[in-house]
Amino acid sequence: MFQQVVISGITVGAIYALIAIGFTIVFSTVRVVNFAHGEFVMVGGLLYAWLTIVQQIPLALAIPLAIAACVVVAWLSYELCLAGMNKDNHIAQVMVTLGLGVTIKGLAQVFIGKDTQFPPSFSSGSPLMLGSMSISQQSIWIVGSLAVLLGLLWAVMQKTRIGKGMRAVAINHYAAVLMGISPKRAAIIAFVFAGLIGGAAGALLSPVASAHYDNGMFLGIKGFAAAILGGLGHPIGALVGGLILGLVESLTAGYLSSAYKDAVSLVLLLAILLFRPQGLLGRALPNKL
Amino acid sequence: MTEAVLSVDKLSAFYGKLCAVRDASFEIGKGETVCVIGPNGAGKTSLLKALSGTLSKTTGVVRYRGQVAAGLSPEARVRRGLIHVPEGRQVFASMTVEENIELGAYARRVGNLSGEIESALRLFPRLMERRKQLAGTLSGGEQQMLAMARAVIGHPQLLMLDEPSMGVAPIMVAEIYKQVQALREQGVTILLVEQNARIALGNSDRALVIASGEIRHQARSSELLKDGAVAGLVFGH
Ligand SMILES: Nc1ncnc2c1ncn2[C@@H]1O[C@H](COP(=O)(O)OP(=O)(O)OP(=O)(O)O)[C@@H](O)[C@H]1O
Ligand SMILES: [Mg+2]
Repeated sequence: MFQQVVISGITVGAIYALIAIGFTIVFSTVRVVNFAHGEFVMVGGLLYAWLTIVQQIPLALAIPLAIAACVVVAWLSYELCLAGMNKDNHIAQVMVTLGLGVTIKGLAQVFIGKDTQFPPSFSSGSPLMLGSMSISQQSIWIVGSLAVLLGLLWAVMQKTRIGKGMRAVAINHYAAVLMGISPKRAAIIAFVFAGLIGGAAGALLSPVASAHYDNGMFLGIKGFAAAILGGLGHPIGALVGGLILGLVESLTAGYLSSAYKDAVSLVLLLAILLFRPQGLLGRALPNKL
Repeated sequence: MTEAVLSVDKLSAFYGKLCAVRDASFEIGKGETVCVIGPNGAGKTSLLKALSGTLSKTTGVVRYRGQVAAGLSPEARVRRGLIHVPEGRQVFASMTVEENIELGAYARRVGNLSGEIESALRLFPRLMERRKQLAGTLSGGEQQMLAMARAVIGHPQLLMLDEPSMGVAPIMVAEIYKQVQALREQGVTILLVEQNARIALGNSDRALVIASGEIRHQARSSELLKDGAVAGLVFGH
């Protein structure tokens, strides 16, 4: 049983990590906690379900289409809502992302519908057996996608000109401008990544947990908690935070009761905020000028 | 004066309602080094920020290489070779020395920079030794060297330096100014802000004396160094 609990914890944790990455990348480049991010994830799942179930589009096309739509939603979200705002008014920005989240959810409800959908797994086939453990095909897709997307993100950030520019914006916004880096361009790319990875998380999750227009807030909170746990603004922190949160929830549900799993993860989050507010991997903010 | 790289006409710059630079007018010719001297809070940094476009609330006309700067974003100015080494150096603390230098060439969009990074590192042996070190762990003087190297790889047409001697040990100040001199000899146009008037006047062709946001005096640096009365104004005694 323990092994099965761990496998389910890692699967859920991988989803949380994927969601957390979107929070982290937007926060570090744009300095905004994007509370609409959970809705990007919801849109990914809901569109994937709608494309496969209602439109009967083959999976190999439905997955990239759903993700591409999320990228567009994320890009438009930035372009229409945040791009023109005063970047120092953080309260206003947070309010805007909350409003944006409600809007996306409303649009999803109106245009796609209120039904809970159960889309197909990415591949059908019997679970992989490792000794006595059984690992579902979708779990493998989820964990594999996390590895691939993290690797891709790492390569872009470390090796490409635009990725280095984004890191520069995250580290020192003013100096980045003086290097000729456009913070607006960096912000757009951050949102594109958030849409891409968030949309993928939504599509990956939906065969396991169903798709519903009202899931966004819940998914966003889980991903945000994972990001805070690992250290907001820290990509590896998102991975670590996501996996820990998934495992803790899964162990609680397996050995205590699933009624406690949200409570236990909340207590964990509070403890971290209390004793290590920068998160597990985040560095304390330097006080020197 | 040969053709002006920069011509500034009645430039004022504001933080909200506060006017930090008032009606500044001056020109910088190609290959000239002009220094700006004045006390704390005089508006020297604000002047540079207005010219680099990072302080955007301005009135008046700035022409850079014949083009009105008002419509140019800070990024567009950097692409045209208007490079601002800011006060307090502003290196990318959690990146290595090499990565910092590489970002100095960001706007130039060239493919392989390794040769140029080498030559930028060669300007300051201390940086060469610390090329893989995180910039945040460098001393103040080393960070200033890094900021200079990062600017040089950007191929400045007009290089604006904000207090490169501030908080830097005297030996390193000498090393930094050796490179300023080298750039002057290569014909780079420089706008140099310094509180230390002796250093500024000794390393420039002309000087602007600024106080309370206004340019009070313009003269040749060599004359200001000799002229006792103006020295009083400049050195504050
Ligand atoms: N970000 C800001 N917001 C509001 N006022 C500012 C800001 N930066 C500078 N000022 C004000 O503008 C005026 C000019 O400041 P500035 O930094 O340009 O002076 P400075 O000559 O560079 O001084 P220093 O020699 O200390 O560097 C000062 O009165 C200062 O208080
Ligand atoms: Mg200053």
